[in-house]
Amino acid sequence: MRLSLPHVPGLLLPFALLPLSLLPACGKGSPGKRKSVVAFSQCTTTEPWRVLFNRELKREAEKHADEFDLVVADAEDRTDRQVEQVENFIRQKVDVLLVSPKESPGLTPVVERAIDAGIPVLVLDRNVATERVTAFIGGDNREIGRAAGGFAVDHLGGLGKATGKVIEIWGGMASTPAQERHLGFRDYVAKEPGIEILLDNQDGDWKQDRGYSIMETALKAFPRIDLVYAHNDPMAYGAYLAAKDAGRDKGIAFVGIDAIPEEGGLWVKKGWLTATFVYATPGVEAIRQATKLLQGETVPETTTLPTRAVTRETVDAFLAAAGVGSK
Amino acid sequence: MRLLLLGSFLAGFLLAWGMEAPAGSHQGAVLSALTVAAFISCAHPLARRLRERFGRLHSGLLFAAPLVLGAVAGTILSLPSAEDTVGVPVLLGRSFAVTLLAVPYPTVARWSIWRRGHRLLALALLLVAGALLSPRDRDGGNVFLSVGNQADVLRQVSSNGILAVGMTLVVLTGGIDLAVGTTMALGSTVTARLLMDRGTTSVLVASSVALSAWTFLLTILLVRRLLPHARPYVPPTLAGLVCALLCSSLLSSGAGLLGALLSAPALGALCGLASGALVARGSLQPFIATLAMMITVLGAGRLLAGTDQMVHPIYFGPDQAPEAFRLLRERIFDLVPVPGLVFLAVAALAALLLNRTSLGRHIFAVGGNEEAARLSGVPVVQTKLFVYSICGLLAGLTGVLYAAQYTQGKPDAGTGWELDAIAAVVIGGTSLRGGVGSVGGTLIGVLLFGYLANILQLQNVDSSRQLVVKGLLIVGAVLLQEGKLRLGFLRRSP
Repeated sequence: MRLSLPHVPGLLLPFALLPLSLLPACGKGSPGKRKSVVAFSQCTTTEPWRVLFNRELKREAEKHADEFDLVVADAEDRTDRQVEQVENFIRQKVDVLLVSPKESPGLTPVVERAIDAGIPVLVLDRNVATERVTAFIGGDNREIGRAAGGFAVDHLGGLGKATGKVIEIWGGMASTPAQERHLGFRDYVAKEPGIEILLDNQDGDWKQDRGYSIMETALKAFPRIDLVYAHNDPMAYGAYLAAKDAGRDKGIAFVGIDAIPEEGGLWVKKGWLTATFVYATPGVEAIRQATKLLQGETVPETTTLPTRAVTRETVDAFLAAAGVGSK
Repeated sequence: MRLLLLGSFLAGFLLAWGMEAPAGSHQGAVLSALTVAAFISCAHPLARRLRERFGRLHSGLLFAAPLVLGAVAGTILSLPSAEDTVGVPVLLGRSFAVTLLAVPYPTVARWSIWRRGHRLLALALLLVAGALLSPRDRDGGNVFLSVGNQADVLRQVSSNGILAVGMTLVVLTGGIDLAVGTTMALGSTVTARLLMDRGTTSVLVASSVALSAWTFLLTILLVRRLLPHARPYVPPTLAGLVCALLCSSLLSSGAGLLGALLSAPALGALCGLASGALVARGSLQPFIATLAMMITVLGAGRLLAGTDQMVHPIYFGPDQAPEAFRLLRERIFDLVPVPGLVFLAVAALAALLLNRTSLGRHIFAVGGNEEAARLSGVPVVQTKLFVYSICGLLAGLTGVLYAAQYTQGKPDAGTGWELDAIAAVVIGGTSLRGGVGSVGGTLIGVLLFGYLANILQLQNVDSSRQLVVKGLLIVGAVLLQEGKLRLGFLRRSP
């Protein structure tokens, strides 16, 4: 009667699974008592903007802690992982699904599956290629570009009489946000005959060090520069550092975008950047709309988040609202 | 024998009782685990003897009878009050299920796969843990155990699984292939581009070259096999003709669906062949050769993707990807994922290759002791060329499945995938020194990885902690395998 031990685990397997899998079928649990669940699949959490996004979302969700549980999953910048997560949420039959996709085509099929499973889906920041999502919440980069353009024109003398030499530092050349931030800026600036754009299409790839080197070269080539417009704050900050190292930061205005409190916000506060424009995260709005959906109300199909300027005048109020103290 | 009857009865009883347990508690799962323990401790020692004495079917029925009785008794006794009655269909259904379970037992118990004890034990423990910890869905069902979730896991592991099977072959020869991730991504890019804009010349030329190269090679082999006495110039001439025909038709009329499906594996196999040649002929270290290949393939993928667009979406419709391509992301009966089936088929074929063919024996021989293998007449170079080519081919195939699943192709998609595949192979007990291992082990490794990810996800463990847990899993698996971490009760010889 000796039991050959190495065999045991193998035998356990088929037997362990089948009776267990019968369990849910005869569940006598009490449905309906469970608290609602709002699940959020974030494509990555290594970028500062995404971290801010998560923070705002969680802070807003805490206000509704007695209405629903919030579950946040990080897809580690991988499409396959994000699809897995959404599949998992569908299996858990969550009550509202929030997705901020890594890529539109990769996520579209699984988002459609969630909708087929009867789960309302709010798509955040980047949209998917289907009309069927419950709602989309995101910023408008072109509008933000326009705001920056308007600020630049004002700064250089006002509508119709603005004069000055401007450098534009691009984000990723082929990326849509960079294109839109560029076009919006041009909507204002191109109408001003007095404004001259130096350097064509300089790609800073969203990075501070690239902003630095572009500006370093520009400072050597042009004796006069009045304003630097970068597609995000780190590049604007990089440009500022280059100008400072060359001893020419005083006469130049540095304008960035994103206004993450710890980055752009702080840099404006210190007087390094002249202005930055909020690229609002959909975090707060997403939770508000999720709450509405849970209560059976409807939400608008598209919500465009407004931008606002953070300048020396408004930065204190901005930082206080974000809960970031001046260091 | 009496013990067997008693144990089986008890097991059936607990089983039925477990099924009646309220879904919110862990009672049911605990009871089921007890069932298994009771059943195995009583039944297992007898299984083999019974099978030898009564044959396959009868020994199975012998197991089933007391189990069924126990299940019926358990169902009836676990009713909350005397007034409640059990439906006949329920009893019949359960009896049937229990019979189905028990009949193959004596046969299954003798399969050699169960000797890979500790790995299966780990998998079983993981599954039980998953079931116990699983959250409940809105209707109170166990999410982890739901058929849908199991199907999801099968789909989720399929990509890593196919790569890991190819990797197993390479690792068995004592090598390693770091290029599988980027080859997969290259495959997805090529597939997406061929399906969407058929006129793209660079992609079309690349895939034509790959397809013709393999056609050339295979035709030569085929002609040599069919016409063994033909003059030496015949096979290459014939092959060249076939090749030229294929090439011209491809370049003039575009790849079509079949061409799109075959191009990625052909390209992958070509990359694999190149690594294999560097390793076998150029005697480069596999790590270095395939590292170079990984970087080259990443660059080639980006070139083929074009500079203005990194992600190539696939849309279905006229003038776009044909609807038939959707089949690769389909779920049969809304449940069984096609990529999962592909994975299982690939694993089965590889297992057959390793265990039932001389080529399989050559692979083990080369990994075990290359010099000895060479001296005893094993074609070492060809064997290595073969395994690297197959590994590349499977990576290309995974690329096709990626393109179908995520309706996109992009050259950066496979970053880090080769490491997941290697981890699964190592957890599965294949030695990185070569010569020792199996596809079955890799299968378990892949499942361990997949289930662990699934369980952690269902527990909503944050992703940084998930990475730590996965790292620990690899360390633990390797320690266990190298015998450094002795679990006394597992080591006791039977």
